[in-house]
Amino acid sequence: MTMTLRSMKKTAPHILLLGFLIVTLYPFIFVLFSSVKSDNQAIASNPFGFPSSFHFENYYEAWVNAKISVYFLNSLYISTLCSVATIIFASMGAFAITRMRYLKMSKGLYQFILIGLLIPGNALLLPIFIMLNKMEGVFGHPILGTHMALILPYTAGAIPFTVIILSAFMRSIPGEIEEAAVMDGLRAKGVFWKIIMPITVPALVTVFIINFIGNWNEFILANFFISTDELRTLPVGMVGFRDIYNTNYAQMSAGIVFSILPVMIIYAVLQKQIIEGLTAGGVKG
Amino acid sequence: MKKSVLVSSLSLVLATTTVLSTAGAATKTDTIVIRHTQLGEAKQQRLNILKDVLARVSKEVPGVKYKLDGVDSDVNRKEKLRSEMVVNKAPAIFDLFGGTDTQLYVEANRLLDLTPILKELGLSNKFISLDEFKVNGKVYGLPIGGYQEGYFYNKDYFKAHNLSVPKTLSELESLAATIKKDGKTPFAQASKAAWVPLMTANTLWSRYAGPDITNGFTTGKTKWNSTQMVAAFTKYQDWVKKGYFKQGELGLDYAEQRNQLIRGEAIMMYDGSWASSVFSDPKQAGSLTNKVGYFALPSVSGGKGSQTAVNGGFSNGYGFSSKVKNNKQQYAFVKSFIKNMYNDEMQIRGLEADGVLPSMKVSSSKLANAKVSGLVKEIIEVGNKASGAFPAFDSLVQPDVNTALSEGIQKLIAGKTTPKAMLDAVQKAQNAANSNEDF
Amino acid sequence: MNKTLRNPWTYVLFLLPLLVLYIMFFVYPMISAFTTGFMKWNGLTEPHFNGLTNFKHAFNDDKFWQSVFNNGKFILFSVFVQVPIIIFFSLLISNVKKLRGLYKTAVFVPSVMSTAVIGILWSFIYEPDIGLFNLILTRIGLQPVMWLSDSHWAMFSILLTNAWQWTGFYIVMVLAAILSIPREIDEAAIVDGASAFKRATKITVPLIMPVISVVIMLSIAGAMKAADIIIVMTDGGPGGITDVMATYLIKYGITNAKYGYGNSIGVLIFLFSLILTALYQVLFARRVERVEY
Repeated sequence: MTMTLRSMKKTAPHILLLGFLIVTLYPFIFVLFSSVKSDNQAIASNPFGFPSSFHFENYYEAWVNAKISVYFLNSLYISTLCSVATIIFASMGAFAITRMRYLKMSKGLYQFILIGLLIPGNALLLPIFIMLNKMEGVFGHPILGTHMALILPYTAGAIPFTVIILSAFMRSIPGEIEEAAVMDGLRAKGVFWKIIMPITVPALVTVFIINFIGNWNEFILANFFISTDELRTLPVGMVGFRDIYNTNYAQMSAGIVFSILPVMIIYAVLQKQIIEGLTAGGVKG
Repeated sequence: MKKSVLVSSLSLVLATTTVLSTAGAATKTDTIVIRHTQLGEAKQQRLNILKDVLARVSKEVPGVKYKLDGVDSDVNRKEKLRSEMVVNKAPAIFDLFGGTDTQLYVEANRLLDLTPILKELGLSNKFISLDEFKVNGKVYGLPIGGYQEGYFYNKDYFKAHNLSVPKTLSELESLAATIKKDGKTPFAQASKAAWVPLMTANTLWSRYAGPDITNGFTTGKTKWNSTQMVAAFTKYQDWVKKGYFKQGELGLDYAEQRNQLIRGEAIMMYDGSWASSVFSDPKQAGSLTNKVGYFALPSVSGGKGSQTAVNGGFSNGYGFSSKVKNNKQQYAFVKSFIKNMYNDEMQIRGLEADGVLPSMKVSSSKLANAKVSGLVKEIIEVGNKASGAFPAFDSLVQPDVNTALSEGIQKLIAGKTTPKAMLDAVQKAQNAANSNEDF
Repeated sequence: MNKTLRNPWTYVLFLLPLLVLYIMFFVYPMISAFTTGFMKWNGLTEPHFNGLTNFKHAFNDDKFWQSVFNNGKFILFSVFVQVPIIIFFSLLISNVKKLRGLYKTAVFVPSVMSTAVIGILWSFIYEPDIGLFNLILTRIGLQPVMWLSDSHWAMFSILLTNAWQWTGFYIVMVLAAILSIPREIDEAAIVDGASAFKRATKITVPLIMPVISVVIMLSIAGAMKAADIIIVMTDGGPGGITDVMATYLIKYGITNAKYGYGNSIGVLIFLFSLILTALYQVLFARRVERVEY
């Protein structure tokens, strides 16, 4: 009796969780199945079931014909570069705000940046567009229509969120650590690079992946600011792909899998650090 | 070390950014960009035509590099080109719509005046109609083809059930009733984008209230909520209530509409002639290939004005940036482009390959010899029999009115409003737009 | 000590890149939105000042208010439906040992997919005839529902998809907080004989209040900005019933070439967000600020 009650107690959460898991993953499994089905007919006749035969050539065709490879590499380098740049700038800023002795000034600056979280990105689309156009005069060559038109706003766009998370994390670092470092003769830059940054790694990893996901999936700016096919990023490419190949759901599904894969891999590898980072940083904010 | 790490890592980031982005710089000033909308299998032939034209142009005007840039038509029209126009960064050659779009860009001096080029090339009188691209008597764009709208239908089904092409609206309705009884959907439709159901509605109201009524809305001469307009939309609502359209079609993308016809679940479909090429391609149309017929929306007894006019026109084509004028080579390129794109040969090619109706006065003997599908012949036939054509409403009314009407028709389909209430709201938007309100 | 971390030049140097980018991409565009918000401007020809006309027009437009209410629905759904579900499943996952890694990874999957892709995906699920939901409904003998086209269901369908996309992301955040609670606290409660339910509501939830507060805050910010999910699912349809402020801005500001008006809507979105945050700070955040462990 007690045995069954105990095992009931043990299995009940798992039943609930597995149910939740199925709900969460089912659409994704549907894409996986569809991506290896032969054609629309095969998908339409058995939309949500297991494929009867496997057609892995869909992946090859999506990669080659649909230029997924080009979009993929564009997205990969832009997302990585911007995430890294945001982190460097934001952690420097967060360090100055939380660890340097200008508390009043820093508090004001922090609030000032916090407001950025509330600014609706879509509302600023046009002003940013016009500003990027004007920047041609500053840089001597056009910004719009190049990857720079995405790199700058992506790097800037993630700043408020990143600063908030990193500041929260850095604030929780005990002051004794850096006092000891200063005693050892380190200057501010040394304290930042040798002491604070290594401790902040979990939070850095977390904001990296969150920003990476954001950049990887960003659609509206990429759609507006880039007009040449070879420069497009994956989300824009995927929507174009849908408009063009709305007759070929199987290839489209293969394309979707390509668009999810890298982020999944990064998440799986860095999972532990992300959790740590969220625990230590964002949570106490 | 400490300083150098910071500085070098920063400069590394900046350097990579600059190098990578300049390496990817899209447009050098001496490269001509051609924005087209010929994407996907269905438009492959049209893209080939464009490529052939450009090959000839670059022979005539050597030394000018060009680049093709394909963007989805709707995205280009509503977002891309529009925002490029704001910063005056439109490509040299681009896909352009006539009517309100062209007027807006002309007002801001963004479009190249083509009148002198047409004169020079002897093309001034070669087009069937340039009205939609004319502003103050000058031409700012050239239609690539014409279109008209009508009913596509499943011929085999009509034969098997002894149905014939309707001559009056009541015949069309009894057809629909028969099809409905047979368990099929009479009219294929997918109304996530409101312009799709508005194709039917536009012609229906032109039957009830006369084809010219749409011209009067912006001047205030005619009213959206007049009796005949209400009658037209009441008829539309009647069809919705009787279940003549697929249930849940409000959530479906435009492409789904033809799939309903191809799958055999719907028997008729109101669409533009541009859809015709799908039905001669076995890869897209499957078992329905070459088994689709075409007829115009039939006459309404007691309707006003011509009952055979078709919704058709020449509203989509190419426009050119006004900046081209300052660059001799680019100007020569554009001239050569117009010469090689707009001629009998390319018009016939477009017709043969894709069923694009000519926008130019192609000689009738050449037209008769063109190898076209039976469906395209039927479409041309309907056009020839028509007493005239009227343009789609969206090239005649202001964007805000279009938005009000779009929301109205979707609400009507959803059963959330009545024809009268809906048209009152549209008229209200029309009044506001006409009064040139200060916002 | 103080000297090292009080060097004004270092302070400026550390903040400079950040502030330059922030001013360029947040402050300057916001100012320009503010100024053009008081102008009649089609984006092409010269703008001219028209005072408060844009704002008056917005306040007199029923459709604007409808979009405001839809943002409201977004917020209410996030806070009162999604957040409890997030807490519930986070507690469940934290209580199991087997398969925890799997659950943790798997629930995160939807949040790494782009909204554009999610729109494509869910259109299969909501499809009227062969979509998953209606297949299930007809199988169990119910009437099929026209998810995206029935005005009673369209907004709900969007909220559901949006919840599906983001629940996992927040679960990972909340879970992280739960797992960071020192084990001794929970063990002491077990010794005292507290039931699992009691431990969850009396100990765990109060301790993770700060992260729940962050989740709520992020949900509200997300709800105020939501646009692409609506664009890809319904495009505001049917008949504008699912428009939110951001899609209203795109429809009337950009598509209809009324950029001045569009920018005034942008200003209103910003002001509404500001008011909401202030309200939230007063009503909720102040109370949880002091929770420490």
